[in-house]
Amino acid sequence: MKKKNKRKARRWLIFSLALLAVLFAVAFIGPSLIPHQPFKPNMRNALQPPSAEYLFGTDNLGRCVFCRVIAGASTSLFSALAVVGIVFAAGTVLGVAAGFTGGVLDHIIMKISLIFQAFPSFILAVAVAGILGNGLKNGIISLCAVYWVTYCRLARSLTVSLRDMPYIRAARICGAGKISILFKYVLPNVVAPVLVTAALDVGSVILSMAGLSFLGLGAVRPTAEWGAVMSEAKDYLQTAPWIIVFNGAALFVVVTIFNLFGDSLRDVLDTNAEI
Amino acid sequence: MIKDSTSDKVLTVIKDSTVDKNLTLDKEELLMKNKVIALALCTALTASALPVNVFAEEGQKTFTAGATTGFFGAESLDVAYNWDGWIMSIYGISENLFRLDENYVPQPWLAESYENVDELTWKFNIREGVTFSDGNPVTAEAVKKCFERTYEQNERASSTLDIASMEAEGQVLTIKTSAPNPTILNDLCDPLMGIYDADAQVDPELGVPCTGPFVATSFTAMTEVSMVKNENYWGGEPKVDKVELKIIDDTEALNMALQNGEIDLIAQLPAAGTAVFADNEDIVMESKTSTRANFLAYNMKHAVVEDAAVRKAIGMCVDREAFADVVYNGYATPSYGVYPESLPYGSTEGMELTVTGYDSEGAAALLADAGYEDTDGDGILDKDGEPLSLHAITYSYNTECLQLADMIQAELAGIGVEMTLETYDVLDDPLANDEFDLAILSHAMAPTGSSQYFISMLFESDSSENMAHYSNEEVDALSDKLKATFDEEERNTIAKDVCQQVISDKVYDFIVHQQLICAYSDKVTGFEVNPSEYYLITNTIDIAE
Repeated sequence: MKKKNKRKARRWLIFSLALLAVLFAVAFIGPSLIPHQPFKPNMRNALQPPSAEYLFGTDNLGRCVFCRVIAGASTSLFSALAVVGIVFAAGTVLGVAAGFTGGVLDHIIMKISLIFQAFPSFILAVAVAGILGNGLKNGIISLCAVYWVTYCRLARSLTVSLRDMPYIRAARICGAGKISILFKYVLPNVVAPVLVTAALDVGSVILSMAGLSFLGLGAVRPTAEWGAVMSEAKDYLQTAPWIIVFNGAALFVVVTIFNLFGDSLRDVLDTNAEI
Repeated sequence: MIKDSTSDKVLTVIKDSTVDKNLTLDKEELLMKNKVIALALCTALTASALPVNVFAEEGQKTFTAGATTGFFGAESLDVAYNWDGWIMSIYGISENLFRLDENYVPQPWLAESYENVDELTWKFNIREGVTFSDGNPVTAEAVKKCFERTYEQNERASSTLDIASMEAEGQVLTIKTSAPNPTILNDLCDPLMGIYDADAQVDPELGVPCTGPFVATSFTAMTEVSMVKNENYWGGEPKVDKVELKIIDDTEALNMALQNGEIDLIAQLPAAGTAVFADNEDIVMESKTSTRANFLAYNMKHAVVEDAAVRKAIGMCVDREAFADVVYNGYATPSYGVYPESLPYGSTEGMELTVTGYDSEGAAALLADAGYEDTDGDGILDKDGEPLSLHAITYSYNTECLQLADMIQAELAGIGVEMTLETYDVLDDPLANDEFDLAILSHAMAPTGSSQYFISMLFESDSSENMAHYSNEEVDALSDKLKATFDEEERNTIAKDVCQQVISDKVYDFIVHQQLICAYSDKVTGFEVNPSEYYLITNTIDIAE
């Protein structure tokens, strides 16, 4: 039974990895293959409904919506990956440091993370981005400020639970130094679950980033970031719904793929752990 | 279970109130009636959850209108503060001595008549029987005190109308100007010259008492205002009892508010909305050619735009025709001059234009001739080691200006000029603090009908709103000459001469002249679009039940 589940999970993982590969190919190579210039207004073609030439129609300045969706993919993908990468690294380091050393450092780091947790997360992100000013970089910083806490607390609790495991004690008795225990026995066991969390978070980070941009706090003009484009397109919701619909659909597809990947990765790693 | 207990409660209520009248009813009948009433109560409860004026007092008519910050946004209800007098005039709170008709001709309003005694002296007869909303009569003395306070509080006042001295006697106000002023009547139409009771204490929320058809009852800066009718309005009792004005900056939310009946009128409808209402039979769309223009202002203190070739090249990169046709949906006309053609001094005929059409290749060639080239290969042109990169600002709520910014940004990127864009709800600070190279603005150019208005405000070297630091001695001299010229034809010639200078210098670049569009429910009657943008709410506005 377990084997069957595992096989199924692996199949899903491979499937989602394939989808991810397609996604990254589109984001990477797509912009050089698209038929129209995504940023150049072509006013005479404004607000055209979807057609063979313009698959997703054109926007209020006559730019091809399809090309802009492709051009915006890399912004959404890489800003989300940057956020997850940063919080994964920073959160893990801080959490492991807190859990492994204990004492004052543990208290300080945990109390700081408590302060960050006290605010509703998106409100905190909006506040940080609002103070820093708009721009993609500031959007990334504000999301990092929100997301690092989860990783830090997860890494710490894992480290604390591992610290007194028999095999760690055995290693200590055999004379292994603190550094080698940390890197050889603790970190490898902490990283896997944190990595699963990271994979599951990419989708929500993409959504949060789009949310910030929608509010005018993330990506700025002329970037074709999906959230920012949807914010502009809402003025044409009744007359040219295709702009907002296709950008929203792109967001939906990407978030679904990342969630699928995260879920299947968790299933695969979990079953492994059980065996 | 729940149902039973509710009907029991209702039963007691009914017993209290109706048992006397229904002595003959047997218990079953009474229960039946209770259920009906309970149902009615439930319906009423549900209805009260809806944002409809169910609880509006019997027979009270409420008129609700919405607009973006640009049209309704006041920081206070003090006529003398910043631009708030303008908004108060739109609200129907404040009134002037004269009012512009739809041909921009001043007509008597709070002033009944006037007499031009000599070149410098004007006598105004203030209308009798007009009172401020606090009950004080409007006398010449009150008007004098009001002007004195305004001149003390707002530096724009003296550039609007230069008064040397005032004398008040009964209802006769005598104004002496320091120089002959042929446009004094137009100047008195500027809402900054609105009449309020300067003797009254300024209320921190509701501002100063004025004479208009409506009186504010609550006010939230840059958000909304509620008003009731001025029962003693001198021009006849207003037809509606209450007026609610809301600022809705989201274009789609604004359109939907009108569609679902939350508001009855959209003032200064953003052009994107015109397509939404074009086929809607319940909505009336009315437009008048205004003097409002979208234009670019370059900061002459900043080196990057000091070169006239750069400014001209940017001007050549703007596809004005497309902007007017597409973004404004045809509700605007492209401009290569300064004033709109509808004004007697607006024609560009016989003028030497610096830009005559959209020509981005020409712009690239112009920059190359001026010595700009991309020496470091970063895709941005540079000269003497300085990259051609400029910082633009515009209003965050003005979708047309934002789209113009998008157009210019992309076009400039195409010829190797980088443009960064920052948006603000209120542009006053970044403009005053020189935090821009290029400002994308929207201004009414001749709201008083007089060419002097904009020339005094933006083109003179030391004028109050000249944030571009434009300085041209010839313009200053022409402006002085214009101020002293009474003959209408001569005035138009001088105004055109000023325009020629402005066109050649390209410190200000006018892109399109737009129309003032209002969309309203077909239940609204007695509303008229006035092209000057000074007026909106009047006593004649009525709304069918």
